[in-house]
Order: sequence, then C-alpha cells, then structure tokens
Amino acid sequence: MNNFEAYDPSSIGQAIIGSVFYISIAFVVLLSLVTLYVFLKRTIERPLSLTVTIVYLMIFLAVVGQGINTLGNIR
Amino acid sequence: MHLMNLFPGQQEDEQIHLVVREHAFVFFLRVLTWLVFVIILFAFDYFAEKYIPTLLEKPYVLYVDVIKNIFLAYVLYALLLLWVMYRLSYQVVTNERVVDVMQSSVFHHSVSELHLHNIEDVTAEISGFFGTMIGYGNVHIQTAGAKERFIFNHVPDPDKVAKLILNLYDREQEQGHPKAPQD
Repeated sequence: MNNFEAYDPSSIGQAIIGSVFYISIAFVVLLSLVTLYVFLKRTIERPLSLTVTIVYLMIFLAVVGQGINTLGNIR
Repeated sequence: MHLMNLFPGQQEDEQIHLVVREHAFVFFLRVLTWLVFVIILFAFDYFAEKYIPTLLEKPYVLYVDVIKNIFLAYVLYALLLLWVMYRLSYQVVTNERVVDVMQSSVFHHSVSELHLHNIEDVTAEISGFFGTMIGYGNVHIQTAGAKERFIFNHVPDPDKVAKLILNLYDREQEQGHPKAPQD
C-alpha cells in the first residue's frame, strides 16, 4: 500500500509543477462535477447514470490520488 | 428499462411508442477517436525511451508522471463528456407528437417538438459503409410550409422509425385531426 506524503515543495521546480497540477485538477474536477450534475438531472435512466457516475468518480479519484502521490515523491 | 419523464409537457395519457438515440456503433466510433489520445500516452513512453531517455530517469520521470496524470484526468473527462452527450440526446415518438431532445454541450440543452398533424413527409436514409452494414441512418421529417425539418441522426432501423411515424400520422388523421394549413 502506498504511503501518501504531504506535498511540501522545496524548490522552484516543485512549486511550479505542484501549482500546475492542482490548478489543472481543480479545473477538471469542477467541469466533472458540473457535467455529472447535468447528467443526473436530465437523465431518463437513473440507475444506469448513477452506476456510470460512481465508476467515473472512482477511476478519476484513483488518477488524482496517483498524481498527488507522485508529487509527494518529488524531492 | 425504467424511464422517468422524457420531456417537458409530457401528458399523463400520452403513449410513448419509441425512444431512440444514435446507434451505439456511432458512439463506439467516437470512443475510437478518443482512444487516439490514450495511445499518445503509450507512444510518449515508447519514443521517450528511444530518443529522450533522460526523461525516464529520476527526478525528471516524476515531473513527467505528474504531467501524464493531468493529461489522463482530462482524457477521462472527455470520455465522460462523450457518454453524457450520447445519453442525453434522444428522440421520442408518442401518439401525439415527435420530440427531439438535444444536449449539444454541457450547458446547451434543447427540446423541440412537432405535432403529428404538422408532418408533411417522412424519409428514411441509409448511407455509407457502416450505416449499410450495421443498419443505421437518418430519418428526415418534413414539416408543413417553410418550417425547419426534424432530423433523427444515425438512428438504428430508420425504415422502421419512418414507418412507425407514418402509421401514427395515419391513425391521427383517421381520428379526425385536420392537417395543418400550409403557409
């Protein structure tokens, strides 16, 4: 199991890549949440839509978690 | 399939005869296009190892991995967007009207409806290799006068859809709904 370490930049390179990562991810998280809201609001097949939403969120969180872990490993 | 309210203004006694959306193969073709962006990730690893091996050594590889994570998050979102557009765009044929529900972007949703007595002509069209082999095509519904016509794009079995609409139109005429006057 991976041990997630708190992201603490100690160089300009780390600070830049950290900022780029968090700003980009914040933007795509916002887009995703808005899209999922519209999807669940307008869908005509709620069980299928809920399943797709849960699967998407799980995969998305795994990708973001992996990114945060990689950021923590930059020394 | 459990269906909720399909469109605004749906009457309780309105009979839904058909709910149709683009053929799944059309969605599959879009996913294939999306896969190109996934292949870029693998291609990067392949070419970086060959031409820029330094990028795959520490500490640079960690920076590259973070950028790949960002890229992957956007690629995932693009797949979600494709799915949402696909599922939220559909057409409904009832015993009273034809309704076109269109989600052309996250923030653009439109519902157009056409009463059966306004229909002038219905045309089914199958074209292209995949359309012919798999059996999907367009249904054009011409309305009275200079009004814009309805188009069902890439729906499965367009002939059957056109026949259903024409049958419902005939039934409506028999029940005494007059044809709309032309402009």
